[in-house]
Amino acid sequence: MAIKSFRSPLGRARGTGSTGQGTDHWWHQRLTSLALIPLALYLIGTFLAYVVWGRSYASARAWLHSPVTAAAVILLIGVGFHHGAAGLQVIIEDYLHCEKLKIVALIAVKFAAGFLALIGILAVLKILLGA
Amino acid sequence: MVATQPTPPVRPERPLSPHIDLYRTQFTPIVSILHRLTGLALAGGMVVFIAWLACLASGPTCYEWIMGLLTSPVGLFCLFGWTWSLFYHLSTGVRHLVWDTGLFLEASRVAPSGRIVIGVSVLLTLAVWLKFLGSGVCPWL
Repeated sequence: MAIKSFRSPLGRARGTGSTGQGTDHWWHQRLTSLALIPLALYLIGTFLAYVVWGRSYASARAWLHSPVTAAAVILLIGVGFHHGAAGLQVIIEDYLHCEKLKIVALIAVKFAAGFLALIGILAVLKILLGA
Repeated sequence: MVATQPTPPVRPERPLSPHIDLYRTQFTPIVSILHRLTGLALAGGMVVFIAWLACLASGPTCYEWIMGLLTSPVGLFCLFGWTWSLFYHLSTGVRHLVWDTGLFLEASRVAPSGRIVIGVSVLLTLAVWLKFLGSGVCPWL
């Protein structure tokens, strides 16, 4: 019997390739980028143009008192850090060839993204709930 | 007995393959590299955005401190850079999403779409910042 493929029938049926994760990483990068188009434009339109430039502490707090704004900013933080961590992972995997350093950098990026996203979401909730 | 090394045959002078040192910089890889670099810059911008939110949540003293940093000349320069980075990364990102559908992948259309995304990102950045400068919130400019 001639070998037609080096992949096992089970591996072929699972369809997840050598990483065991299939196209998940690629697909999530696309999905988050799509969500970030309106979210990032919203951020530019409000945070940059109306909040940072010369606006007072009170007006910036009032901006985040709206549930719509708070929801958009929380989504932006969650999706943004997911997308950012996925992008940094690709950069690290492409340019860091020392295996130990690569693993440490990948873990550090994931942990930092999770921690910073949580800080941001808690800050928004604190302002929204008026604490 | 001494083992003699075989003498390597004399190789004729041939042109070497193009090395990075003598490779002419081309337009399309620059567009691609800038997509990565702006993405990296935006990751840094996210940290600053979180710092701003944390200061806003913690009180007026912290808020005044970070607003002082952001509206200083260096801070405004960084914000300008991040504005362009966002518009650039967004434009080239949309270009990537279009490519994923199989459209505009022909070699003849890659450079023109690269010029378009650069033009769009510069125009949007200027539009946002001219509106800001016109609003008079920054008297020393």
